[in-house]
Amino acid sequence: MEKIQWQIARVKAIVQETPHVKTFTLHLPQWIPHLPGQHYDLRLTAEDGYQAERSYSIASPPEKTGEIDLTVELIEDGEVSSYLHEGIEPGDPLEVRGPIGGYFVWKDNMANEPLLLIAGGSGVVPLMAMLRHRAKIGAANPTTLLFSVRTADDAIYRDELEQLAKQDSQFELILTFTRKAPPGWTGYQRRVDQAMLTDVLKRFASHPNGFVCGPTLLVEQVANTLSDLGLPSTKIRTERFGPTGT
Amino acid sequence: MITDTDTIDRALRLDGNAVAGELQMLLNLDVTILQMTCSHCHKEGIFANLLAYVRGPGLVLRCPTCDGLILQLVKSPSGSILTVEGLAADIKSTIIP
Ligand SMILES: Cc1cc2nc3c(=O)[nH]c(=O)nc-3n(C[C@H](O)[C@H](O)[C@H](O)COP(=O)(O)OP(=O)(O)OC[C@H]3O[C@@H](n4cnc5c(N)ncnc54)[C@H](O)[C@@H]3O)c2cc1C
Ligand SMILES: [Zn+2]
Repeated sequence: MEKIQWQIARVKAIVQETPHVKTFTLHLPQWIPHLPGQHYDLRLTAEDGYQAERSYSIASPPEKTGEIDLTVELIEDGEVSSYLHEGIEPGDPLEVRGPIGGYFVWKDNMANEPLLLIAGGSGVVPLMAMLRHRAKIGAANPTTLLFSVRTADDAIYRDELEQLAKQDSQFELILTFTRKAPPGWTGYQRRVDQAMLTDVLKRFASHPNGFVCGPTLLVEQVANTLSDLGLPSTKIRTERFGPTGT
Repeated sequence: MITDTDTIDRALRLDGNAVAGELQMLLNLDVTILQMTCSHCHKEGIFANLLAYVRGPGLVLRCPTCDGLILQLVKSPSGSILTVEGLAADIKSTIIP
């Protein structure tokens, strides 16, 4: 394992993904290859020395070298996310450490096993790194992403995900809209529930590796339901993002 | 009864992944993949699945099965105090596959 240290990254680019979400491309003097699913910690220091630390998942695949993409949702009253959204511009420095965490990661030795990804809101970020890496290595394992979003405006990476699904017959994207579905929508329009997870699990011939990420309450409910439905707990990896999102 | 405060506390709960950076700096070890046993209920688990409360003055990790206290970390300008009395002695460094 590499030793991690705080380092000063430089903001290279900022992309507005949705009305409330921006992706920050950070150039890192000490770039260490990461595994999809890992995160960086980001630290803000005020002039009086007060510090705030938050974690942000890496959105980019390890194939993108020398830099990382962090995708951050603007949280109402959020200390760090609002600073990033309102106070940061290309060229600015940001203090980060990482990559962190070897548990919530999709490893290349899973590339032949079915994969079930379930995200609420910004919980899609580490799963996107997995999907991007999976595409780069040309894995053909049956893969489904069940992505819960409030409205069409909140579906981060939607174009890229739909593109991936179009190009790759082994990857299926399932969206569910919890507040307002787009006009003409015939898919799911409710929170992830047992019936939905039953449908999704039916698509797999054998137990998939499950990764569940997003707001704490969603993650816990989904993980419990998957386990009730018979997916062994060793097959369910979770990451709680706290009181964000959906 | 679920009060609003309960819901906020539950929503603010994170897991072992959220404190991994802090502990990796301190121990030079990726703690998330450690297999360990809770000294309160003796259930085995993986560090990443511990419940983390990080909004207080320190970090607190609890067992997801019995809610017992596993680890506390308090940082001060003069150093960090790490208490791990909630871990049974046989913390394995077995790395999960
Ligand atoms: C491992 C990990 C990876 C993550 N990856 C991402 C990612 O890729 N993208 C992303 O957008 N987020 C991610 N998060 C979440 C992120 O770390 C922050 O929690 C998020 O950005 C909000 O931080 P903030 O400082 O803006 O908001 P905060 O100031 O922390 O507030 C968040 C919300 O909680 C409420 N709140 C805070 N404290 C209390 C309290 N004591 N009582 C009641 N309410 C309270 C606030 O009002 C607000 O609504 C990740 C979290 C973890 C643990
Ligand atoms: Zn216990």
